Amino acid sequence: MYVKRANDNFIRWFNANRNELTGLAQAWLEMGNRAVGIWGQQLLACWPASTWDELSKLQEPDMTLCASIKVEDIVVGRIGVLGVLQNLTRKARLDAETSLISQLLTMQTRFESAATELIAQAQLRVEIDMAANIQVQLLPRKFPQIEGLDIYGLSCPAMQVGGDFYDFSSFKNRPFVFAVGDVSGKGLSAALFMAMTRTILHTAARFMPTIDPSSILVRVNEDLYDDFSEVGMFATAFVGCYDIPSKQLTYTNAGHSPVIYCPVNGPTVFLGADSPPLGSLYTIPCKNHTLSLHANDVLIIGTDGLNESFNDAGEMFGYERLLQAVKDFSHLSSSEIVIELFNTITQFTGGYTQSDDQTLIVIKGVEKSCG
Amino acid sequence: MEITNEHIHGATILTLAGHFDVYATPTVEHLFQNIEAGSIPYFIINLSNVSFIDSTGLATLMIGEKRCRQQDGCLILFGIQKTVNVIFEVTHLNKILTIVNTREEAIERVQRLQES
Repeated sequence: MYVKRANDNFIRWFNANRNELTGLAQAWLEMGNRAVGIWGQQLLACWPASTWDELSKLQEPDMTLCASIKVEDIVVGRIGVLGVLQNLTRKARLDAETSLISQLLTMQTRFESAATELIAQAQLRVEIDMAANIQVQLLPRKFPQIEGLDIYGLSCPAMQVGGDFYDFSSFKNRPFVFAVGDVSGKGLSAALFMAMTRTILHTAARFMPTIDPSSILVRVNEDLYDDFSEVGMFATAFVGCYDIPSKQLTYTNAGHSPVIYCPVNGPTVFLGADSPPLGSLYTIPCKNHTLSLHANDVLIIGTDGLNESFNDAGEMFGYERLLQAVKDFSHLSSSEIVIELFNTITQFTGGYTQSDDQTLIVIKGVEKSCG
Repeated sequence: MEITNEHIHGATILTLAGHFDVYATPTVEHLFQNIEAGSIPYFIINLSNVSFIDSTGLATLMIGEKRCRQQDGCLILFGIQKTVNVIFEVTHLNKILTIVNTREEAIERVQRLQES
């Protein structure tokens, strides 16, 4: 129920600001036979009206009681009760007045508790928004321009913050290294570990003297193992290192899926892992593998939120549909592939809310131009 | 998600049913966190009615496995459906967690550990 208008009596009784009252969407809660209005951090209540129409019909009350709602000694709103006590006997009037006061005090207590909770939630929302903003800043906003490659990606957290990440390292005299990962769990805990994992991976790719994907992941795992193990989390990761002259990609995969390789002259296949995720063992048995990224060869690195998307019938998108969609769109550019794959998944889920983050990076070989 | 537990031969058998995901894991994680210090925990997890497991579910099993191992116990999984087994395989967590086919095999493993 929403407040759509405020009549003069209501504004006068509770000393409300008409603009505030009528200009904003206001949620009404039913508390027994009382209708309660909340907008922003201002709270209002009226009694005995259970709907706005009833309230509007109420004639000039001959008893109005107001009380302040305080949170940590700051007045955040007001509540009130109204009484029409005419034509009552003296005793009945006394009883009605006592009842009104009692109701006001009960409502004041309940509202102060609700207001405290509302304000705490609002503060938490602000903190989460800030965390989400920081997380967005951590992910590359521009895709690297690498000779012979067309790169594009997208990451959509299920909650405001998530555990998926991707990173690109493209520095002078260093090979192009990229990583895609997924920290177990959701929300803030996953986001914290995502930031940590992404930073350690980035530093390793930038400064390690030997650059090969398995050395990077073994090193990153050693750095992270104690922290991951302590809290019972892990992170899957796929790391690739591209050699421009030979168009060869060296990669390693620690428990990450889905990764799909779609070469022009060969079957489209999933690239499986040969090691469990980061944080699951002190030493992970990563191995390097190579593949070609010649013109029109496509490599898709997603996170499990893609194939584990559900529709409202409880049916999962799954690996087979994903594989087929990759085959269908592999002739497009990397950005078009990303968009079409997301569209296909959204079409399947029918807008059903997903519980896991979804990230997709597409790397496509091209003749000459880049990005 | 439905969770039932029974105690047989000194082991706790947890039977999970439905989706073992972020919404279902707190109850199971709570059980692992409440393992008494000094006790030797033996957990057998029946996954035969679990149709989906996400990374939070996998992490919860890893927490349980670690907790049991630290106290000289064990955590054994059995009855994993084909669709769920794919997830264990692609993450390679089937190399870390102890997985058997049947309840009998799981109980036998626990008994062998208890006798050793």
